[in-house]
Amino acid sequence: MSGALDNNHEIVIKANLISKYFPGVTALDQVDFEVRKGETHALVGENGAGKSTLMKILYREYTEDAGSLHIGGKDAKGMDIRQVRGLGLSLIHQDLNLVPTFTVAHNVCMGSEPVNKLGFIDWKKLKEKATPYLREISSDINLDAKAGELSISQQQLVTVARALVAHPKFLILDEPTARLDQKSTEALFDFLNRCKTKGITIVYISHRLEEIYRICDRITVLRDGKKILTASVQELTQTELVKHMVGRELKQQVPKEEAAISDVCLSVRNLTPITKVQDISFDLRSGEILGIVGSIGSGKSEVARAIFGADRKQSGDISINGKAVKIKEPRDAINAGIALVPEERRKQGLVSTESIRKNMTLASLGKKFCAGGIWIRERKERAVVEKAIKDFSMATPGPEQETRLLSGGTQQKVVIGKWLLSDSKIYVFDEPTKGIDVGGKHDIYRMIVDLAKNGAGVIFISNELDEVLALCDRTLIMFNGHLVKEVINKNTTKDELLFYVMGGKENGSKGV
Amino acid sequence: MNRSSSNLKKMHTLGKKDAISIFLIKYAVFVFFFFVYLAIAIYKPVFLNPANLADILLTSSLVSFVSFGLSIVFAAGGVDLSFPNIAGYGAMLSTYLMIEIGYPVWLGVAAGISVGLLIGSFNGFMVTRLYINSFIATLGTLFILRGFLYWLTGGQSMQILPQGFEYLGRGTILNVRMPVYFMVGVFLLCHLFMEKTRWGRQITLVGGNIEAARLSGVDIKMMTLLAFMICGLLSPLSGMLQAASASAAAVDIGDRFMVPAFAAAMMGTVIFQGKHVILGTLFGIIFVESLNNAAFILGVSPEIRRVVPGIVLLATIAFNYYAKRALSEKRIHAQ
Amino acid sequence: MVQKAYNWNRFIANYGLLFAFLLAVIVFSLWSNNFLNWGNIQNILIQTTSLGVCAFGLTLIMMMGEIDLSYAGLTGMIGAVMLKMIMAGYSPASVVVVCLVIGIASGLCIALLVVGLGMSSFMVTLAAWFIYMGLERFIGHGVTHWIYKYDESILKIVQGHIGPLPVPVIIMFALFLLCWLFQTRTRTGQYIVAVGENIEAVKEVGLKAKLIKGATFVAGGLIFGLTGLIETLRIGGSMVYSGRFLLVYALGAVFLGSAAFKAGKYNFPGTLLGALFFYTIINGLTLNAVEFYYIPLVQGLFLILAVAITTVKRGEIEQVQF
Repeated sequence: MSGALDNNHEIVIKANLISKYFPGVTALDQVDFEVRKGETHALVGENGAGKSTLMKILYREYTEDAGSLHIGGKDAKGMDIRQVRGLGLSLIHQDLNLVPTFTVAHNVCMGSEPVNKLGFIDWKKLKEKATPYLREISSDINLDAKAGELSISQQQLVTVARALVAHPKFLILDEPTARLDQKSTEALFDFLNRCKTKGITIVYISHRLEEIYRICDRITVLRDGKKILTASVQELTQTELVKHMVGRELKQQVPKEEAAISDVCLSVRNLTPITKVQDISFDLRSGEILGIVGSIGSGKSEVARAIFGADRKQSGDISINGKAVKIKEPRDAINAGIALVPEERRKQGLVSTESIRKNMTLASLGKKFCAGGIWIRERKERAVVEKAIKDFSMATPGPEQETRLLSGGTQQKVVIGKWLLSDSKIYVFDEPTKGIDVGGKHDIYRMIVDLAKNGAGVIFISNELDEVLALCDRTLIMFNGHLVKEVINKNTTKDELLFYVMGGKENGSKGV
Repeated sequence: MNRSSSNLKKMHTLGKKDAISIFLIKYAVFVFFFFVYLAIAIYKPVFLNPANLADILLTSSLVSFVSFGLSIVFAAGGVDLSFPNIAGYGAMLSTYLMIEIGYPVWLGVAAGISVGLLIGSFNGFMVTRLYINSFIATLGTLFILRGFLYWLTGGQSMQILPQGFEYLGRGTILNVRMPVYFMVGVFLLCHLFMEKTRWGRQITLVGGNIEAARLSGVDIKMMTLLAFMICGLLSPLSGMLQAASASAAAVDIGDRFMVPAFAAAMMGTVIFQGKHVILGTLFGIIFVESLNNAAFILGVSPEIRRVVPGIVLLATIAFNYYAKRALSEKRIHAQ
Repeated sequence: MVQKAYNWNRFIANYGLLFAFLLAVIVFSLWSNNFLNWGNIQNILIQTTSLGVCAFGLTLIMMMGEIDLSYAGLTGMIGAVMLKMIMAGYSPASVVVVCLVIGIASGLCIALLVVGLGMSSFMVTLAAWFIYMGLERFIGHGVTHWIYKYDESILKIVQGHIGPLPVPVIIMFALFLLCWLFQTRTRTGQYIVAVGENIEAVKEVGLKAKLIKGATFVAGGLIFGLTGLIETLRIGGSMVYSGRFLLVYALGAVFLGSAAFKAGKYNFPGTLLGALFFYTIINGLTLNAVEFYYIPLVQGLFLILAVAITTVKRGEIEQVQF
C-alpha cells in the first residue's frame, strides 16, 4: 500500500481522528495530523494541549482509543514500539535515557553491539561502528567517556547519535533544544538541515518560536486536545501563531510593572560555589527583579543553589540586609528569608505523591500551622491553601489533590505558593517557566511582579532572553563560570544579551 | 483556562453509583477479608467467640509494636532488619536486670526501652552520618545484636519472672489482656504522631521525596534518625510483653516477629495507597493474626499456618494492584 | 608528601572490602598457625560454596535493580523435596533435574508477578520466602532426614575432587566465571546491567526490557535451585530452615561485593570475595576457639565497617525503594 497522494505531496505519517482518554481528561479529541515526505513539520501547543500524547501515540508508547494511524503507508494499529521503529520511526526527547556507566560508544550502539565468534562484545568494532554516527552530530565528544560524565548538552547529542543507528526515515524531536547550550543547538540545526537534504521527514515539537520559524516548513497547532490548524510557515506570523495556540489574545506577554526599588537586601561577595564557578559578586535590592542569564555551563544554577545552601559552596560571603549570614544548608537560607524555586519542580520542588495542601505548607509548617510548633492545624492549612488556590487561579478541584496529577504550570504555582506562605523576602527562581504553557507563564510572571511590588528581592534565572528582557530590571550575564557583564534592561537589547551569553567580549573577540 | 475548567467539571460529574463502586474497589482488601471472616464464622462459629477474639487481640498486640515501628521506618524511606533482635534484647536485658540484679519492674522495663532507643539511634546514625544504606546497616546491627544477645545470656532463658512484670503481659481488665490496652495506646500515639504532628508529616515527606523535603527546609537527617529511633524504642515492647505474657524469655524471642511484622508493615504502606500507614499496619496485623487464628481453629497444621503471613501479604498486594487499575478505568468510564 | 596520604585514603575508600579482607587474613594467620594451611583453606572454600552460588544468583538480580528474597525459603524447601524423593527411591539424576526445575518455576512465578503485573519485587519475593518456608515445613514435617541412610550414590556428586579442589568448589568457581564473563562481555549481560541503571534507555533502543528482567528472575531461580541442591548434598540431609542463615549472608556478600571495587556497583568478583569473607571470619574465629557468639558480632562489625569506608564520603542518605 503506497502512501496517499495529496496535492503532489506523499503523506508518510497519517493520523486520522485520533482520540485518547485518560482518567478525568480527554487528551486528544479527533485529531488529524498529516506529515508530508521530507518536510520538517512543527507541532505546537500549550502544555497539556496534547502534543506529547500525540507523539506517544505515533510512537506507540500509547494506544489510541479511536482513530487510525498510518506510517510509511502501513497501518500502525496493533503495532508496538519495536515494530514502529522497524518502520523507520525514531524519537528523540528530553529524558536523556543513557546508561551512565557505559561508554558513549556503547550507548550509541546499544541494542546492536557487534559480537565476535564467542558471542562476546567486540569493543573495538563497537567503537568503530559508533564513531560515524556520533560525528554526524558532534565533533568533540569522546567515545570512551562514560555517559554519566558528560554534560547534559552532550548527553542529548549522544541520544541523537543513538537514534541514527537505526537509519530512521522519520525523526520525531520533542523539545530537543531544551537542554542544549548555544553551541550544541547550532550543531543540532546543522544536523537537521543535513537530514532535510537527505529526505528524512522530521516532526519538531517545540515551544521556541525562533526555532520553529527557522527550520520548519509547516506548523500544526493543537489546543485543548483538538487540532486547530495546519499552515505553512510563510502563511502564519508569530503573533497569529501564538494567538491560535492560546485561543485568546495575550495583551501583554509579560505584565511588567515598575516597583519601588529600595535598599540592598542581599549582598553576595566572592562566591565560589564550585571550582569552575568563580568569584561571583553582586547586590540585590528590595523590589528589584534581577535576572541572571547564561548558557549551560555558565554556572548560574550553581550560584542560585549556593545562595540557598542547596549545595555546599567553596567560599564566599553572603549578607542579608547588611548582616553577614552563614548558609550551609537550605534551612539556614530559609531562616534568613531566602526561598528557592528549583529548576526541576517534580524532582526538587514537590513531593508528587502528596496533596497540594501538604506541599504548600511544607516550608512554613512549624511557623504558621502548628500549635506549639508540633500539632498541625489542618483546618487552618485547608483554609489558607484554598485561598491560595483561588488567588493564583490554580486548575485543581481542591487542596487535597495529589500534585502529580497537576499540569506543569499548576505544579509550579504550588511551589511558588509554598514560599509565599513562608514569608520569604528574597526569592530565587531557577528556570521557573521551563516547559510551561503560555498562559501558565503569564500567571507566573504576574506572581513574580507582585512579589517585587510587595518589596521582595527577586533573582530570576533563565535561558529565555525574551522573558528576562521583559521581566527584569537589571541582568547579570554569566559565561563559563564568570560574571562577565551587568546590564540595565531598559538600556540593552536582546542582541547584546545574546552576545555576552555566547561569550562575546567587549573588544570584539569571542571566547574566554 | 478553558481546558482546566472543563476538566474540573468532568471530575465533579461522577455519579453516585460510580462513587459507590469506587469505594468498593479502593477498599477491596477489606471487602475481601470481610467475606473471608464471614465464611469462617459460618463454618466455625467458635471463631467469633469472645475468648477467641480476645486471643486474636492478644497475639496482634504483641506484634503490633514492632510493626508500628517498622512502618514508620518504611515511611521514612528505609528498612530495619534488626528489630527482632532489638525486641529480644529488650526482653532479655529487662528480665536479666529484674531477676539477676533485682531491679524493680518499672526500671527493668525502662532499661529495655532505653537500650532499644540506643540501638535505634545507632541504626539511624549509620544511615544519616555514615550514609550506609539502611538495608545493609540494619543487617549489620542484626548480626551484632545476635552476638550480643548470646553474650549477655549465655543462651539461657529466663523462666521465673517478677509478678509485676507478668501482670503487664498476663493481667486482664474487663477480660481483655493488658498488652491489648498497650497496643491501643501505642497505636493512638503513633497514628496521631504520623498524622497530626509536624515530625510525622516531615517523616512522611522525607520518604516521599527526600530532595524536595531538603530543599523545603526539612531536617532530613533528623527525621530519618527519628524514624529509626522510634522503631528502636517500640521494638523492645513487643519482646518484653511477649516475655511477660508467656512467662518466659528466651534468646530468640524476637524471631517470631520478623515475618508477621514485615508483612503487616508492608501492608500498611499499601492498604490505603500510601496514606495512613499506622492504621493500615494495624489492619495488616489484625488480618495476619486473625487468619492465623482461623487456620488454627480450622485444624490447619502448624506447617501450613506459617505460610499465612506470606499469603496475606501477597493477597493484599494483588488486591491493591487490581484496585489501582480498576480505579483508573472507572474514572475514564465515568465521563 | 600530602598527595601520597590522600591517595591512600582514596585507595582504601574504593577498595573497602578488599582491604578489610586482607586485614582479616593477616590477623588470622598471625593469630593461628593453622589458618593458612591448605586443608583449612579448602575448608573455607567448601563452606563458602552454597553461599557463593546463591549470592551469584542474587547479584544477577540486584544488578538489574530488583531484589529477590525467595532463596531463603526456596533452598530449604528444595531440601525437603529432595529428601522426599530420595526416600522414595528416585534416581539421583531425576532428583537433580527436579531441583533445577523447581528453581526455574519459582523464578518464572516471580517474573510473572513482578515483571508481568508490575508488583514490587521486594514484597513479592518476601511473600515467596514466607510461603516457601511454610511449604518446607509442610513437606518435611520439621524433621531432619539424612541422605546416606537412603542413597549413597547421590552424595558422590559433591564428594569428589577435580584436581586439588573439591567438586562443589569447582562448581562455584565455574559458575563465577560463567556469570562474570556473561555479565561483562555478552550483550545480554550488559543489558541486564543497563536495565538496572536506566531501564528507559533499554526500552528506547527497542529492546524488550521485560523479557530481560523476566529471564533474569528465571536465571536467578535456576541458580537458587542449584544452591538448594548443593547445600542439601553438602550437609548430607535436609535440616530445618537450612536457608535461614543464607538470607542475611547472601545479601551481606552482595553488598560487601559492591564495596569491593571502584564503581560501587554490584559485581561478581566482589560477591565472591564477600562470600569468602564471611566464612573466613567464621573459620578464623573458630580456629582460635573464640566463643561462637563473637562470630556474628565480628561479621556484623566488618560488614558495617567495610561498607562505611566506601559510603562515608558520599554525603547523602540512601533510601530504600519498595
